[in-house]
This record gives sequence, C-alpha cells and structure tokens, in this order.
Amino acid sequence: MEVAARPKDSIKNRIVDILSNNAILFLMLLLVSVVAILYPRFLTLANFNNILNQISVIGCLACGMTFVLLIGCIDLSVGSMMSLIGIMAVTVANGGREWLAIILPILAAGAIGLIKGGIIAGVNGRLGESFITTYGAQSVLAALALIIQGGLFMMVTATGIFTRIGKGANPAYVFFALIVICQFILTKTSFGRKLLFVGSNPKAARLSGVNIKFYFLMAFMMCGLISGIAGVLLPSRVMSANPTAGTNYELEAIAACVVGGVSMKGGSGSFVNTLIGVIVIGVLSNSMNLLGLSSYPQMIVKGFVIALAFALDVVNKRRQMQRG
Amino acid sequence: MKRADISRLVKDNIIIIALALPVILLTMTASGFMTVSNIKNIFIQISLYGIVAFAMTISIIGGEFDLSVSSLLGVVTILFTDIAKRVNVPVAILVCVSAGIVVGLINGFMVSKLKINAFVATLAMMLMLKGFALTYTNGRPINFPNPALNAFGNGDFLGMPNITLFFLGAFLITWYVLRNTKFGRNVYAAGGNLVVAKMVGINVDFYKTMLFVILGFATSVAGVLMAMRLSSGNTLFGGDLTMSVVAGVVIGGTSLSGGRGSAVKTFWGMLFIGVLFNGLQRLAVQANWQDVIKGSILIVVVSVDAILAQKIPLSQITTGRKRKEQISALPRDV
Repeated sequence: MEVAARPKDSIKNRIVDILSNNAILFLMLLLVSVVAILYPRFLTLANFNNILNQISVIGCLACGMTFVLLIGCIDLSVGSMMSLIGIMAVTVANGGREWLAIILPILAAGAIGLIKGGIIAGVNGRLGESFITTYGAQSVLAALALIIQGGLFMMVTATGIFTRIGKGANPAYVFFALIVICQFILTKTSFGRKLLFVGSNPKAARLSGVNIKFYFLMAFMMCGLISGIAGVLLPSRVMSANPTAGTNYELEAIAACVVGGVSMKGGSGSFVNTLIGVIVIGVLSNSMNLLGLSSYPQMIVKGFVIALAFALDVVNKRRQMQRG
Repeated sequence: MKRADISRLVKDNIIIIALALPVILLTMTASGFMTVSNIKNIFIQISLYGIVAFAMTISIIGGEFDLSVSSLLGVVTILFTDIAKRVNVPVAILVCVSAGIVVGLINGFMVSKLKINAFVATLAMMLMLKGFALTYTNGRPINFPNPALNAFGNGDFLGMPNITLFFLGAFLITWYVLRNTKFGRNVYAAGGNLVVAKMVGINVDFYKTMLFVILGFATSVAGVLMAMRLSSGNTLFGGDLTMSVVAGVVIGGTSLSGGRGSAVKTFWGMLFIGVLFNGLQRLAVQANWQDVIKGSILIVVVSVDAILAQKIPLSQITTGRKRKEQISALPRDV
C-alpha cells in the first residue's frame, strides 16, 4: 500500500527532497554563480589553487573532528591544541631537530587527545559532557600555548624538511590522503563500523559486547593526532608560530563537518561529507574575500551557516521520520 | 536524626565544607585576605558574573545550556557605551535589554521549535554575536567616561556596592521563583523528565524558550552594569563568563543533567569561585596559569558531576515528594 500511495505525491516530494537534502550545495552554487559573474577571476586555476591552500589545514582539523562527531561527542579544544602544537613544533625545529619537530608534536597531540577521550569515557560522557570538558580544555591548552614561549610570536629559522612539508600543494596532498585513509578505516574495517555503531547507539553497542570506552578513547585520540598534523602544517606553511594562531579554528572545522552532512547526533556521516563541507566552507570564505568582506562580518555569516545547516539537518530527519 | 539523614545533609551542603578549606588556607597564607575590604572585593568580583549565574541555574535546572552569554556580554557593553555616548542612557538601557531578550528569543526558538541541540544552537549564536561585536567596533574598544554612570557602577549604597545589591536581588528573585512559583516547579519538571513534563500537560516549548529569554535578560543587565563600571565597551569582556558561571553553578551542586539544583547552591558555588580567583590573585599567580586552573576546575567539576549523576537514582532527580514514586515508575527516555 505504501508503494501505491507514493506515486501520487512523488514528483513534488522528490523535488522538495532533493532541494532540502542538498540545500547547502544549491546555496553554494548560487553564490558561486553570482561571484563568478561579478568577479571573472573567481573561476581561474590560480584561484582554485588558492582555495585548496586555504582549506587544507582546516580540512585536516575537520577530518579529526569527524571522528569525534561520529561517536556523538564534540571537541572544542582542537583550535587551541593547534596553537600549542605549532609553538612546540617551531621550538623543536629551531633547535635543529626537524624530523623530531614533525613527529614529536603529533604524538603529543595524540596523547592530549587520549587524555580528553579518557575523561569522556571515564564519566560515560556524551555530547553535553564533551562540550563542557573540551571547553575547559580549550582554555587550558590556549593558556599553555601562551606560557611555553612567554606569549611570543616565533619565526621559523629552520631550513630543512620542516619548512618544506607545508609548502605549495603539500598540505592539500596531506588533506586528501587523510580523507582517503580515514574513509577506508571507517567503511572497510571492523574498527570503523563499530565506531559508527557506538556513535549511533552506545547502549546497544555495549549490550552486544562492544567495548565502547575503547572507541571513545580512540575517536578522541584520532582527533588529537590529526589536529597535531594540522598544527605542524600551519607553522610550516606560514613560516611562523603564533600562540593564538588556532583561535576559532575549531568552529570552522565543526561548521565544515556539519555543512557537509555529518550529524551531531553521532553515528551518521562519513569523510566524504567532511570533504564536501570543507570545500563548501572554503569556497564561501573565498567568495566573501573576493566580495571584499572583512573577517569580522564573515564570522556572522559562518555562524548563520552553522545554524542553518543544523536546522536543515533536523528538518530533514523529521520529514524522513514522518514518511517512514 | 537518622544516619542517612546526616549523610544526606553533608552531601547537600558539601560546597560549604569545600568553601571552608580555601578560606582557612588563604587566611593563613595570604595576608589581608580576611579583611572587610577584601571580602567586599570578592563580592564585587563575583557580582556581575553572579547575576548571569542565577539565570544559568534556572536554565541548567530546566535541562538547557547557553554558550552564547560570553559573547552577548561583550555585545551589550559595546551597545550600551556607544548608544549612551551618541543618544542617551535610558535609550541605551532599553536597547541593551531588548537586545538580550531578542537573542534569548532566537536561541529559544532554535532550541524549542527547530529542535537544534542547545549547545550547537548557542555555539552558532556565540559566533554570530562575536562577529557582530567585532564588525560594530572594528575590534577596538569604545570608551565613554561618564562620571555619573561610573559613580553608579562603582558606588556604594548603605555600605554595600551597588552591583552586589543587584547580585543579591537576582539571588532573591531566583530563589523565590524556583521555590515558590508554578514557573519554578515546571522548570524543575521539564528539566527532570521532559517526557513526563509533556505528559502532564506542561507547555514545554514555552518554558524552554523562557529559559533562554531569562538568560539573555540577565546577561544584558550584567553587561550594562559592567559597561557603567568600566566606562567602556569591549568585545573581550566576558571571555571567561561561560566558564566561570558554569563552574560556579555546578560546583554549587546544580547538576548538568537537569532537574536538580537551587539558587542557594549557586550562591555558595559563586562564592567559592570568587574566593578561589581572589586567592589566585593574592598569591600573585600569573594570568595564564589562572586560565589553566580555571579550565582544569571546569573539567574536574563537570566530570565529577557526570559520575554522580549516573549514581543517583531517578527518584531523587525531581522535586516534589508525592510525585516521586509515580515518576520513578516511568522509564527516563521513552
């Protein structure tokens, strides 16, 4: 009977479905066409490269954030973690040990992630607890980044490998490699499937014998490791480290994930969603730059886009529920 | 008195015992801690954040949470200073209070009607407000040294600082509303068990919206007072508001899981935070290390709260003795 009832409203419903499921993409297309008409320079290879460079660091952060969102938590401290890691990396690199300057900070970031995951797993936390504990962690890590070098802006004086990893298209390669690896882990390994299971229903996962605390730990550790990679790439790209470099980066990363379609409820989404979201946010920022909007009004627009993405997510879920 | 009663009494008032410890330590180590002027100082320090803390208590009891208050405070100080400078003070107050209420209404609409998670909705609002404040001022503070306003913000009345009177006023109103009104009861009910609250016919959407409106209103009052006190408006004001307030509310014993807590608890919690911050300053701890300590306290407090919330049986989560058995018979999330 379901099948018989459907054709009647199918065309209208289907159009509405396509529109609302991809509303963000359509809005972006609209924006792109407007900007492309106003500024022919927008659709050039040079600008395309420019966008790629701008999104890769945020993209890495978003990639790490996706693990945490998939398990139904959030991490507000990745931005300040990135600042801290950047300062650490430049300190070690300027000391002459450049390979160590790449590996050590990433491992340190993984360890910090493990601590955060340990707290969340220890208290059986979900979205709320992770929101507030990582909000506290944000303040702790940002303050530590300021303490380590006395709040000074640091130039990179190293000349070897550390200065090359962030140059040219390298961050973009790292970002795409991360997306491919993480998507493989998520879809083709038992670890990834169980991660999604724990994210969508931790109670059911525990009752069916999954060690859910392990997955919380791992999700936060992956997020830490990957934000460590972003933290090393950024100073290498801009040849300096700033103790407040990562401020508000976490919001951009969350915006990218959610705009791409990773659900805040956990258990739904993939790294392809993250990739789409990162590109959307990148194009949005780039168009706003071309339109001459300074970074302050851009914050208002991004906040609005986040709210819009969440509202659409909820509306779509509700419609799906109603229609079965 | 039974033994269980005693242990419960201790558990309910653990914050007062916890408060005694730093007070005793600081009295011994930091000179000039236990003086009238310093105690007044502590109250001045917690007064403005305290006004927001009482509103946050109502909102956390109702099961919601607001991250955007920190940005809203900055926006209100900027709006007040700028409008007071260009037009006049009554208009500035009117605009600020309406701005607070409108932000609360938008947050409430997003949470109760659009069903966006409160954390996320207020996170987006936080970003928008910060962007607005920075756009409005271009990142620079606005100064408006007005002797009359400054005298009010820093002044005393009957030996009490004016802003502390506002703090005590907010405390009494919150205490009365939560304890003795239908509104308060329904907030406890909605926060304790949303499904049951809906079943017994409480207009949950209205209460959820009101929680945010109250928060917006309280934040705008605190922001106006802060702008008067400091004679300036700055985007950076209120940067640690959310953290200090949530830490104070939860240390006091109001649970983040909703449905439990009181204004008295928050009063003690904020006093604890005030004593602690005052102590850190007296012991000349560097500002960055203070941030480390504040952040760590928030993490510890929320973790302990989450562990305790899982151990307490459902029957203790809501108030009202008679309803207890009926509610405990129902599953928590249907």
